[in-house]
Amino acid sequence: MSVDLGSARPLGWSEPGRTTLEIKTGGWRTRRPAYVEATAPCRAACPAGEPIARWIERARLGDHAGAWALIREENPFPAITGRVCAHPCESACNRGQYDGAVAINGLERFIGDWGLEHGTPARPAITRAECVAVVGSGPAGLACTYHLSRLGYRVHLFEAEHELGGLLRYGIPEYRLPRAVLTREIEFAIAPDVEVFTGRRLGEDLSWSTLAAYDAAFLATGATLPMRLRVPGEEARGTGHGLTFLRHVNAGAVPSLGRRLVVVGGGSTAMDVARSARRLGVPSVTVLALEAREDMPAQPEEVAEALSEGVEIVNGVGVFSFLEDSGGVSGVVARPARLGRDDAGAVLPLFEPGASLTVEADGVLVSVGQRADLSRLPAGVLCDSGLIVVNGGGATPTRHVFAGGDAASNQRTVTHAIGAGTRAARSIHAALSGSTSAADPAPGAWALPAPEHVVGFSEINVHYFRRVRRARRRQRPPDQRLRSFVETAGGFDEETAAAEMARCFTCGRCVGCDNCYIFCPDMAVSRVDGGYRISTDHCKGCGLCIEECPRGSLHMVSER
Amino acid sequence: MTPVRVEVPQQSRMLLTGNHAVAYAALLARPQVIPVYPITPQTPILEKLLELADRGELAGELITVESEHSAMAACIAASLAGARVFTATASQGIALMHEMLHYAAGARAPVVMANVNRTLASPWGFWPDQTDSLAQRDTGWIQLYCESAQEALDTVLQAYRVAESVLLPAMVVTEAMYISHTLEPVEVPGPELVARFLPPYEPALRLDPARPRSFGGTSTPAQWRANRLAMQAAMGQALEAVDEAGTLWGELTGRPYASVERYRVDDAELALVTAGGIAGTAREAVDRLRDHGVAAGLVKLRLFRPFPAAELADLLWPVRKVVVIDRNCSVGSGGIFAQEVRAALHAHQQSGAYVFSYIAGLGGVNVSPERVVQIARDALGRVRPPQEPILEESL
Repeated sequence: MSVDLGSARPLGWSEPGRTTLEIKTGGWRTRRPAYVEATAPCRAACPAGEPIARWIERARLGDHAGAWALIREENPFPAITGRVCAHPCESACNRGQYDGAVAINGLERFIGDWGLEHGTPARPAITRAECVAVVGSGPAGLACTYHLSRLGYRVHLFEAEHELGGLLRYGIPEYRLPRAVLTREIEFAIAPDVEVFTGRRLGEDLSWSTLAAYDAAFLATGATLPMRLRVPGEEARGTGHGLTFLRHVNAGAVPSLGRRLVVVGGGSTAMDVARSARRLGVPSVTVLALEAREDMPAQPEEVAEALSEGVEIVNGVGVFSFLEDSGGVSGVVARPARLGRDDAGAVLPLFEPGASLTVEADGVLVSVGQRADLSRLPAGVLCDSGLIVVNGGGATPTRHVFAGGDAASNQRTVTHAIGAGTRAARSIHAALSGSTSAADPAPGAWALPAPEHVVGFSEINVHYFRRVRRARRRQRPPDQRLRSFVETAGGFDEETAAAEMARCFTCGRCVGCDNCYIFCPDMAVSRVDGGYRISTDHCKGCGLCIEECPRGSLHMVSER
Repeated sequence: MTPVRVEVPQQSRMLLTGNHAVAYAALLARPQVIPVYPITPQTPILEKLLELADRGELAGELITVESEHSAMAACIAASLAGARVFTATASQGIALMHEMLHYAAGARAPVVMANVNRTLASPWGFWPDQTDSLAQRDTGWIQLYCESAQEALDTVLQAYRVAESVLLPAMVVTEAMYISHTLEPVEVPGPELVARFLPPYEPALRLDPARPRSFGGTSTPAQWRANRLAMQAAMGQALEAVDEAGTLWGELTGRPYASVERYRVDDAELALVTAGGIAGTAREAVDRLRDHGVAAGLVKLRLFRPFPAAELADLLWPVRKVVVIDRNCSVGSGGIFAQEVRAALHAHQQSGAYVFSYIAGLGGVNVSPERVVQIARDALGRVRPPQEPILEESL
């Protein structure tokens, strides 16, 4: 109704065009919020240093090629690690404290497989005069080769066996890592300009003087010597080493195993041996492990799959002696024991009181770890406790000699080896060129890099995330699995992967959700350059934006 | 109230509780934003509105908020953006809104809210008592008290016309259980009739991103004072607007209203003064007193803010005894309506009348026609009023 209110008309309104922006509430402030790019816990936990939250974000936006490229900034083998990585990222995932960790490993396989089918690997040009020798083509050597060629170096890659891959090829069974995936991802990683020399074993077909002629050398010769139990009867006919067995199986041979097999060890290799034996038709496979079931070094999934495939696992026992019958092994005597180590760090059973257990066997395969063969290294390379001595970047005390992987570390996973190869390549580049590689790009000029800050669960505002069940990988039924070495675990389909990507909190990285923009009581937040800017004329430093940020990508900065 | 028979084709008769009558009035007012929070005994209002929205009959945006404080905050913001808004509350709910009630009035946001009078805790109770709304008398809200479901429906629609013409918020007050939950036949006007009475709300000033300007910034002492004086001036205009709206409503529906209603008071020597549901009972008591030769009348206070002091003084000047019945007690003082009536008569030099203050029906205790007759006879028997209010228990 249009009524002339006269002196009763409303006041308190500004002139047209004049707004509350005139009120400079920023003068009340002693601290201010700042957009940061902090480190997500998954990345902090990743031995290969993958920017996990960032590549999941790319993939979530439909940019699979971008996600694949981001992974390969650090790790050239997402299809491989997406199958065999022990995924410490998932243990660190903040979502694990809410409704289950994001299934990062499965997503990595999804992106890796996408890359194998659709990706075009970059073919870097040689831009540097130096040539680097890489010895060993396991995950450490391959990763180092990949990054060195990306940095413009000429690389000569030496491998003792006839095919590339090292432990990936000779140690991991095909039902966990199909050969086609392995071969293609190695092809993608090795640039055409890399010169590959197979059948060249250090100390036999490859001399130290040859290596010394290179501008730098990276030693990634692995840990190939099986550890022994040092128990009477260990040399009897019918006994052997798990890794040797796997090497034969992976090379296509079918060793004779008898009908009753005992596998000694509680790690991934022991599971691989036991499950491979079941696939080769051995009716009775018994694993003897020192550790309790929940403390076994093998992944819980591997243990569960082994059990479902009919493997029997006895925990908390150590091998006391072997039984022999006319020169061949006929069984194993085990006693209650717990895990101990000798002065050199080798596993040693500490026997405890209790009845002994006799397991009859036609064969015994020992899988209690490997050690590096350091006998072929020249005296100039410093070793200690069975490992080549290196610093955090993989440099040995010998000038321009670097080392990594199982030969230089007791953290013996594929992903640790990849990380070691990557760091070594960057150290070699620094040593040869004097320059260090650039840090990750910030999301924009509006955000500060804060790589040292790892986002904790308390920084996540879970009110903005609906509880959603974690995606599960399909497993082939056990009876089908036992008929062949066909891959056991299925990959995610597009729909499952998309739903799982949507579960990622994207810790510590602004995704433009607008919460800060919407909630700021002073309207101090404006949209700029794909991100946001906070007006210091108006921000009172109340911290509401930080509270409402779902993912910890805003930090308070003191101005005092 | 004297019914006037006019042609009213656009109405239909429904059997409604006071709450549902309020909800239908809100529906007819076509509010665009309706922030609601449930509280007994008001909840059936919002339930009916949700039901109407669910059926597609109510087009406004229903916002279910987390408290009455937020409900009123949302009302104010939407109103300043130019929307017509509605909400309803009671008792603890209006108490929680208190801060925002001041803001709404200072912001000149013409929010219309129904309040169902209910006791305030402690102790807990669910029955009528006027203290919850009367305690908000200084917030700058227009307050209208209703005695029936029909009056509640009619008053909500009139409140919009008044509020939007003077740019002050308006509260329509009913009563727990006796009005809110009691079924009565109610004439419900059709939308065409209401459209003739209540045009769309189109404020000259509103928050609009396309034409930026600010509202409610920090003021100087002079600016704050000017705003307060403008509110006082608007209250003066509201006095006229209430009677204008009541008259126009009567022309359209046959049910005229005024800020103060009189019943058999012209030649009365004793006038009962009350508000809300007791007014209907008092009307019956006046008839009984008249049947027994007592020259009694009734003045029903429909409008409490702005207080119609001049009109009341004019009406009551020939009356010897003014008997105010309060269903409330301002602890340490007495009946609130009695205070206001005394102040109004004193301010207008109406010193000839004695004002007797009776407190009855506290906490929802029933006030029967017999009780009102008893109160009138008690006043007739006294030469002059005592200093303290007279409690019904003492009769």
